[in-house]
Amino acid sequence: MKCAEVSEFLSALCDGETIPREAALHIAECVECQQQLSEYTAIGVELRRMASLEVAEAAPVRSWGGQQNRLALWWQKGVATMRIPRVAFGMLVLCLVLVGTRLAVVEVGAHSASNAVKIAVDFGLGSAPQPCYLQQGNRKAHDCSVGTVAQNGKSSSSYSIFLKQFDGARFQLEVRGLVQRADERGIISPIPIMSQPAHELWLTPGQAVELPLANGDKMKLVGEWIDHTSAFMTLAANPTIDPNANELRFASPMLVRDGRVVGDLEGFECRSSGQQTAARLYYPKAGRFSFALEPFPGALEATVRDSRVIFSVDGQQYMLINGTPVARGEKIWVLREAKIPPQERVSPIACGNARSIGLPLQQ
Amino acid sequence: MLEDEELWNRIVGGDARQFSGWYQMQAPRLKIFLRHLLGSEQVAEDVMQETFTQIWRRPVGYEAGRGSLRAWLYGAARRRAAEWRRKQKPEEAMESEPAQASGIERSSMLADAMARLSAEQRTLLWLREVEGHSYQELAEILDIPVSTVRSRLHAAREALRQLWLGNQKAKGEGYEVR
Repeated sequence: MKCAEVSEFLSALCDGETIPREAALHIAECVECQQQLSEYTAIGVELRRMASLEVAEAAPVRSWGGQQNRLALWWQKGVATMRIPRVAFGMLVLCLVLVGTRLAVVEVGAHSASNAVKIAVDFGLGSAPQPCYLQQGNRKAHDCSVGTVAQNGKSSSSYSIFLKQFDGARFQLEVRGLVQRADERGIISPIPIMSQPAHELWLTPGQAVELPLANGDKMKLVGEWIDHTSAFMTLAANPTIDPNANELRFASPMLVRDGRVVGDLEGFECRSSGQQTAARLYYPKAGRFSFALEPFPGALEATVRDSRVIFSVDGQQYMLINGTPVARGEKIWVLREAKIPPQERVSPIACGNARSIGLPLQQ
Repeated sequence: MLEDEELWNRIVGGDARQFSGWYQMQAPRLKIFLRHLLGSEQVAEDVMQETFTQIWRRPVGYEAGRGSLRAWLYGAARRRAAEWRRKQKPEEAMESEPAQASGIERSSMLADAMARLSAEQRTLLWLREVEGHSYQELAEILDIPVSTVRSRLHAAREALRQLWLGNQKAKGEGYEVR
């Protein structure tokens, strides 16, 4: 080997490295290389001696508390320890931003593209607005009924609200209403509400619209977009599976008599709560069944088992199979009327104050 | 004394007491290194303080598996020193470096010779000969492959040897190998 080839190994020797055998043999015999090695060694010694002469002054005392930027630290630590190429990370972030933007667009679009609305109906009586859930294309939610009963029980007002169409950010409703007065017996006989004239109005979500009522009062409606309506509208107003203490719920009730289905009100539902809550179900082949949370003339006791009501009338066993729990208690009262006048066959299902649906709880 | 990784975790966790202890231990020698690298007492002090401040505020970048915390500190200081150099106007750098370098150790020909080396060569020699960093640590500090460390160290030694010998010949002084 030549001296020039060995030169780098001389430096390596100074650093405690091993070198190739050929290089070691050359150095052992070459005076010039030995001289160079000595000079390299001397340089190291002199440098260390020089450093030793320098006074290592103590560092000035500093306070290090509370200076760290934790957010920047977190970010920079993430960048520093990143295991994927920065470009790939950048693309990932970009994709997330785009996806996020798209989601935002979809969310905004959902409002204008939604076909479901919730309407709060306020009769100005001091009670909470009655909710009304409507959805086009959902036969169970194409209309809803709201109403009031006068405090003396002598009259009631009923309204049916129908969702007609959408126009951009607003929607059109059709409202039919009637005010009924009790007869001398205190009974308010049902009248087909669809025979009443319809009032059409446009509603923009978030903006209240007032509709004058036949009895001189006003109905205030405020709408909002929702993404869907509940499977059972009876659950929309009270989304807990358990009914309230004074609540009756019927949803798609099917009637079984002596083990055979005699009527099925699939898709029909109603809910009512408050004083003298009652419900009436009409099955053409079995008659009308009136239910109440308290005894009333002619009624029999029925057993409530969650979503089933079991009772016996005229020696026949009945079981009403409901889509939701019917009532909180284990007992309700039922009256069966095998035949009812045609004018009272207004609706197969009705819930509300007993008087408002034509059911006197007391003689 | 805490292991490097444990100490680093404490620093990252905002343990001011541990960081202060580490600063007190490392700062004096780091400042000497920077003084040789930058040729100015004041600049070395500034860069040293900035280095510790930066580490305290944003303690990121150290990986225990890649070397010692001390080597990483010197690497951070070297980068900050290089940054300081880049910010200087060319004429200022040309004028200030030799003049201030001569003030480091006026009586030493070796110091004069060191001052004439490139910044990287000064750094390499100082860190290897004085601070005793390994090839692996030098590679980490200088951001170069380990295989390159050996060749550059040799080049630095040879350059310093030539300058040192040249100084001795110019001044007519004897040289004795110890």
